[in-house]
Amino acid sequence: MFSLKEKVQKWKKAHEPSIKELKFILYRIRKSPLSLLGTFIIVFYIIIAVCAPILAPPNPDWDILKIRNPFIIPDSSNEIDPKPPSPTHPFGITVEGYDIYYGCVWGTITAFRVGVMVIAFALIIGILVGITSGYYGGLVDEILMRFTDIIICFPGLILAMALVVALPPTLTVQALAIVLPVTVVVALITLAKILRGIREITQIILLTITIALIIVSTSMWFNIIPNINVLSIPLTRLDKVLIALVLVGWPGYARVIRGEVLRARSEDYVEAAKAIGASDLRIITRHIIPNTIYPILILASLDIGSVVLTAAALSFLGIGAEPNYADWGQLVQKCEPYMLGADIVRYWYIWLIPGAFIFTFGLGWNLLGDAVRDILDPTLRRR
Amino acid sequence: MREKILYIKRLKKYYPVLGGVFRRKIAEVKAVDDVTIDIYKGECFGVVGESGCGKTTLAKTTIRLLDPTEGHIYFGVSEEIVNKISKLEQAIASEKGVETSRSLMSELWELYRKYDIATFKGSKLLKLRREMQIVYQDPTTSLNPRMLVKDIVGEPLLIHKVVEKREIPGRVLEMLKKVGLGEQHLYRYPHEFSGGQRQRIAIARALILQPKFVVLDEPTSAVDVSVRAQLLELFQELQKDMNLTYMFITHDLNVVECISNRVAVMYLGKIVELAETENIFKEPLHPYTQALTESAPVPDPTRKKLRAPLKGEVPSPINPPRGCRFHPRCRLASEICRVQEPLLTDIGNGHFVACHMITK
Amino acid sequence: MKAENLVNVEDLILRFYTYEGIVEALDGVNLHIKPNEVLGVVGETGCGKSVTSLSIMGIVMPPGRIEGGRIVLNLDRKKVDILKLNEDGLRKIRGKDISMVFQEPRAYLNPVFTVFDQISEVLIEHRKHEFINRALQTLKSQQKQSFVTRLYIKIYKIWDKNPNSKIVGFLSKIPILRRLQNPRKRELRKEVVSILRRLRSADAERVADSYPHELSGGMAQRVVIAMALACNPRLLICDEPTTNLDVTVQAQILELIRDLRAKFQSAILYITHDLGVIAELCERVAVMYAGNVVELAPVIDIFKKPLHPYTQGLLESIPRPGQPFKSIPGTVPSLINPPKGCRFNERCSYAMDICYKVKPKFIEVEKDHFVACHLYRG
Repeated sequence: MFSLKEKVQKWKKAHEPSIKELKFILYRIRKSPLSLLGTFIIVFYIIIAVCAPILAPPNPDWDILKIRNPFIIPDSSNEIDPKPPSPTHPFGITVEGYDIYYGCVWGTITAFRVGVMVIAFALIIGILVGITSGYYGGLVDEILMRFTDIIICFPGLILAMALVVALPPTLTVQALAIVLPVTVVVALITLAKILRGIREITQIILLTITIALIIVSTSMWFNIIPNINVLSIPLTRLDKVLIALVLVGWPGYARVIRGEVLRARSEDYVEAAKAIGASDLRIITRHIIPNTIYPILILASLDIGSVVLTAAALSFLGIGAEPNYADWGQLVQKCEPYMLGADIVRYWYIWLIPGAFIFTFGLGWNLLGDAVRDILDPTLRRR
Repeated sequence: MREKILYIKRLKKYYPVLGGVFRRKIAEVKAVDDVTIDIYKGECFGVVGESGCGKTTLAKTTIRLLDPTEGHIYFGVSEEIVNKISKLEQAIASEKGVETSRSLMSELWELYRKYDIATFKGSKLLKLRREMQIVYQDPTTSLNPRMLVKDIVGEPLLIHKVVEKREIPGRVLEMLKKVGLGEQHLYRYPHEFSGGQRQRIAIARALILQPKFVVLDEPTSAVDVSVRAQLLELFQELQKDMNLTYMFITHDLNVVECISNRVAVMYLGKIVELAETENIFKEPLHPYTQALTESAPVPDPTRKKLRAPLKGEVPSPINPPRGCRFHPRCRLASEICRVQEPLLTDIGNGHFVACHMITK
Repeated sequence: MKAENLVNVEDLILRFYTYEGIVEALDGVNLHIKPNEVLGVVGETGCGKSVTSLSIMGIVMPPGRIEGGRIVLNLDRKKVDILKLNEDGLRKIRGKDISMVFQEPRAYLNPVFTVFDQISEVLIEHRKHEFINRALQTLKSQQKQSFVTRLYIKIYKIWDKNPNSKIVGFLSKIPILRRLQNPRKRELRKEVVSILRRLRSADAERVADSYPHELSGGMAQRVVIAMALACNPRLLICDEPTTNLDVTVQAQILELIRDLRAKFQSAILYITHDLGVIAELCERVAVMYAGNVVELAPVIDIFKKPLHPYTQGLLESIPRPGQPFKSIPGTVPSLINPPKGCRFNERCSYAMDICYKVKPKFIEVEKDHFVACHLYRG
């Protein structure tokens, strides 16, 4: 119907205010030197991650037959002792003969993977819990928040360590593992709706579903219905680290977003939405989420840096990535004997270079997170 | 006789105050305490009072944004049915036998379930939202700051599915033009507008479903004087154009004098005086109404006041004074006022007053 | 402008440097306040009345910058140009010579200090010596002078000679020796309670010990007014102090302000958008529009003989029962790219060609009646 030019014009007009906002955000980033620095650091790392196959080819002969997992660092020397940087090995060779340069380049991808995936999943869980808790309040809120409190009580690193050790090498998802959480969620929602005192067809349906699910779960538990293995996923050590960090990280987000939802719930426009007849789901998705999600995004961007640090710490302690895996923390793992006394200066490249990568990565995300907060904070704007 | 569109009968809205170790109810905030009003179709019914008098709570409870503690509200119900219900209520109250009482009770409850919007829930309540709407006081907080104007005004249509999706933009534009805005305002955020324009957006949102009854909760208090006149003019036009009935809440006596047909004065959850606008301003009878009209500053420098007409502050609605709630500040107060609450009595000409001293 | 005026604002220019552009908030504001008078400033949102008062107090924050004009304060013998003062000089004036009352009283009271603490803070800041002296007199006049009393008298004598004495100040802050401040505290309390009594607050003692959140709106506003008047300032600036209050409480506060004026002999600059309050309270009125003072006259003239078309429009738009609503067509122009010439030209029914080109000057058309409009150029 419309020509391409007209379509573009229409799109531009519809998104005019968003485009204005974007321009303003870019202006603010340009103005603050620290946020520029943060942006550059992250962009720099993104480039490294994207160009990893070129910068540190896993297959030096480009032989298709010799396809291998690029994340395993190739063995470069037969000796145990580390070797200083040389033209063939720009960052040196670490203990047991693994190339530091290779490890750092491919470690960038691992770092992004760890950071982004952990934060993404922790955000999803945290937001779901926080919104349900904040919006419905009452008993549901109490239950969810006490559960969250229990997890927060544990020291994060220790809990992560325990989880990494305790998780099985293959994650077998039994049917019960899917049915049980679904039952709990549906039961909570039904509870919330019933407590609000609305008795209608929807509630009766929900109640029936809940009861059916409870029956199915119990019978699976007692093996009346066979508890089949739905999935079997092998978990690498790094995957276990990811899962542990997600489980440790979500309560923080749940708390923050619950607070924001409580604040937004009392705003006039939410009540106005109720007055025009909006359903709970619509109010949550259209009115509450867009207005409460920004503090979380700020927290999340700050947290990516610290997640990578925690993962590096776990790797250094030996319970993180597998040996020879391209991970910055892992690169430093076996270095203890070579860091005593004067050796720490002699073998500087085995800890300083991976350490610098970890440090600057965390720094970049922190600066970027600060910048994001400064930009999105409405009180500091327009200056 | 003019047709009545809304009957509010003995409406009460109490908020429990929780306290103590076990968070039990230790007191109640009697925000709205036994209010009875009949509103005619097509009129502008003004409710005035100061902070804490319960006018906003009354408005929100009437359109079921809040759940009433007690009382009945009949909207769009014929007068015969309302009379039938009240006859039943009287019959049950005076009935001695249990047998007849029970059948009458069940009949009464049937009628309540059918007509009393205080009992509505779920989809019945959703349908009600199309007929009763509200415009808030502060347009800055009553519009979602992250929604475009076209979405804000179009949302009610989307929820109630009254028109096809593709017709929604057309309807939205039509409504915006009615309130004095235009096509160039569709793709903007609320913060890009002035206070008066934002209020127009809120009005468009409230009226797009073509409701019959609209509560206006101090819609002109947050805007400038010159914009106020524009908005009042708009309200009058829209009322004529769309056959609306208004409940106009305000504390500004000047505004209510100009726009409403009848006025109710509230104090601490009760109505103290109710009359036609002309009568209430020409001859205010209740001492509180008199104090209000005398306190309002008049834009005429030749008429300066020397003394403030009313001393003291409004008491807390948790513990209102016994007897007549106004007696501690009333210049006419006497023994009976301290002991007995006055009832809202009809003294003729549609003028109701709740005061022992006046109705004697 | 005559020299006897308390405050002379001449051609004040104020700009805000924002991302969207330069906001010409004040475009040559001319104002003068006579001693002991009540000058009302009326105008709509964005006309610049609040920033004018902030400029007089010297508390304009960036991105706002004053870029022209003078504000001269005439104190007894000295003439002070407020725009030329540095922070120290401004601090000496604020609270003592000029003080301010804001719209939302509880936002300007510290929630963790009692009313007594906050009023006495103002008193100590500007009338330090007086209270030390008074404490000393009270102590000396005591009949039975215990050892402690004599010790106090010695210390207070030192303090009296040098109110800023660092030694005594330091000593009195040590936890055990805090009691050194007690005699002074007693005097302060007497003063605070008497101020509160003068403000018609019921139960002044209880109010003095309350926290701001325990006070009602009207009471909190009275406390703020008390703090503002504690040091007998020459000029009291009130920025919409009664807008948030109920109409009966507003009447009480206006009565209070009128009575206090007689006792305190301060000039009052009263900012509001309510023309009724202006008529009730003010002796002269300045009407502002889009960063300019367009008319300045005695209150009777403003209401009975408004000269500027905007003032006329404003008065006509007051709703009158039984009559159709009249409003000024159009909207306030954006101050980022203000119209050339007179800023009211788009909405004025008397606009002439010159109104779009040349900005009208602020001149005295009749006795004490100033207008900025091309209709009245000689």
